[in-house]
Amino acid sequence: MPLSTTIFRVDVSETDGDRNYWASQAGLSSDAVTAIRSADIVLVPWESRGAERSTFPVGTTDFFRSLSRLLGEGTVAIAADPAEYVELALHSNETRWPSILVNTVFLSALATVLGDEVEKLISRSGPQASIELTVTVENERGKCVSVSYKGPPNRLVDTLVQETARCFPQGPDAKPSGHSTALNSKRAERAVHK
Amino acid sequence: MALRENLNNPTQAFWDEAHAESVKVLREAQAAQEAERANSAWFLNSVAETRGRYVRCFAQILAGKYYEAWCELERIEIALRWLMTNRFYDPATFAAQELQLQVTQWQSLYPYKLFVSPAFLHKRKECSICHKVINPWSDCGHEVGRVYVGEECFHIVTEAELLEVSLVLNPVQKYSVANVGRDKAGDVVDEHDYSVVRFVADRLASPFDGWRMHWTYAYHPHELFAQINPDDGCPCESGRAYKSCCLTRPGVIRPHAQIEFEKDPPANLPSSVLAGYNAELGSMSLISTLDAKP
Repeated sequence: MPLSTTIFRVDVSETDGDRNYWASQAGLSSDAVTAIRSADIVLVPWESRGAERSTFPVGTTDFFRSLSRLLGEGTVAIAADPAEYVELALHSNETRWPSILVNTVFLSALATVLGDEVEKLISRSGPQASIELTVTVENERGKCVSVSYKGPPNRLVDTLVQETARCFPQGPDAKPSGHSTALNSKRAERAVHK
Repeated sequence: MALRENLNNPTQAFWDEAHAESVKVLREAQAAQEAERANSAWFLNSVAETRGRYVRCFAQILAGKYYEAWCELERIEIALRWLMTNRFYDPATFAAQELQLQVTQWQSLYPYKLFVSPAFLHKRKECSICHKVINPWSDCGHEVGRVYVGEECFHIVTEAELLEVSLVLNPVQKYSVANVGRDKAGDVVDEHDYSVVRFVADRLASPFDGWRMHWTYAYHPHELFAQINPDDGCPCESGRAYKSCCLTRPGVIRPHAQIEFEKDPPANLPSSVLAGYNAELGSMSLISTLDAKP
């Protein structure tokens, strides 16, 4: 059987993995619980990788620092204790970013930051690079919406924006969602600079 | 020693000397904590190292040491990445981008498909500069991939657990070719067909002679694949049976490389000699897909 590669895949699903879920994980210190409850964005462990400890993809530390620096007013937390934190270096030359839990207020800022990170990735590895990421948006009106993305970096942000739009008010009276407005402003700004 | 004027010097001794000189300056500047001088020396040292390795790599290809040359190409690729990230001089002045292109082209000529890739759990990491623990709760201020006072910053994994090993198509470490090994005597055991690599190397008088390659697809005559049973996998690597894939077409769809050499080939290369000629088939094998344009 020939080896095959997943080139592009997007999974969108409802999930119960909200802030309470991560803050109530067994063994977490009170400091970690406080950080998870108060942060605007939380980097959460990979659950499906079957590790006993709090497992994050390799490079999470650099991603965390970059996200914290670029986010400005927002705060970022790690859903783990330092003693349990480990990073997993997986197969193949693919970029895997940590899973992100974000509230609807900071989704726009996150999209902008991810756009910057994608540009850095493309300048370093080229447009043919592959990226893997899950973003879970806390939905004010129901279950969280989780978007898992694996594919070319240049389609990541647009896909996230499109698929998380369902977390915002819909209908004729609804205003444009904040995150897409912010993203479009950023693009317009870049277009002017070119 | 003027590097810029000698970028295309094809002798190993020149680059070894340039490397030794720049290391000496680098060590002196580091000892004196002269950051700017140390960083400049680091850059020049990297230029000398990458070009020296490239000369060595070319010699290895000509000597038939293809796997060793492959590993050298990866070392050059990594060193060039550092060079492009830490631009203490303009990399274009030292033809770094051109060298990157050449390395990528050589790598694309290699027949390697499968690689061994390990999965590790990194339990503890530290900064190579200050040796502080690296995790989201501690920030030493050094950025991985950057050079500080002539010293490269990377993360050292001090505690790890090997989880598994997999076969992959797109590896992190290119040296981990799946079906190249060593026998008990330590010699490389390798049955790959390197005729395309050799084809290009034979037509370059010097390692730094320019060449450009354009990949496309083309039909290749079925006679070249006569040894393959129609029920076996199609040689186009689609995963389907040959009889239900390319056998229904005018030929087998395979990658086709057009190569343009910027200079004439070495005078001692007989025009009738083409690497990869298969006497049993009475025709050119994969090498026939190459259109050399001197």
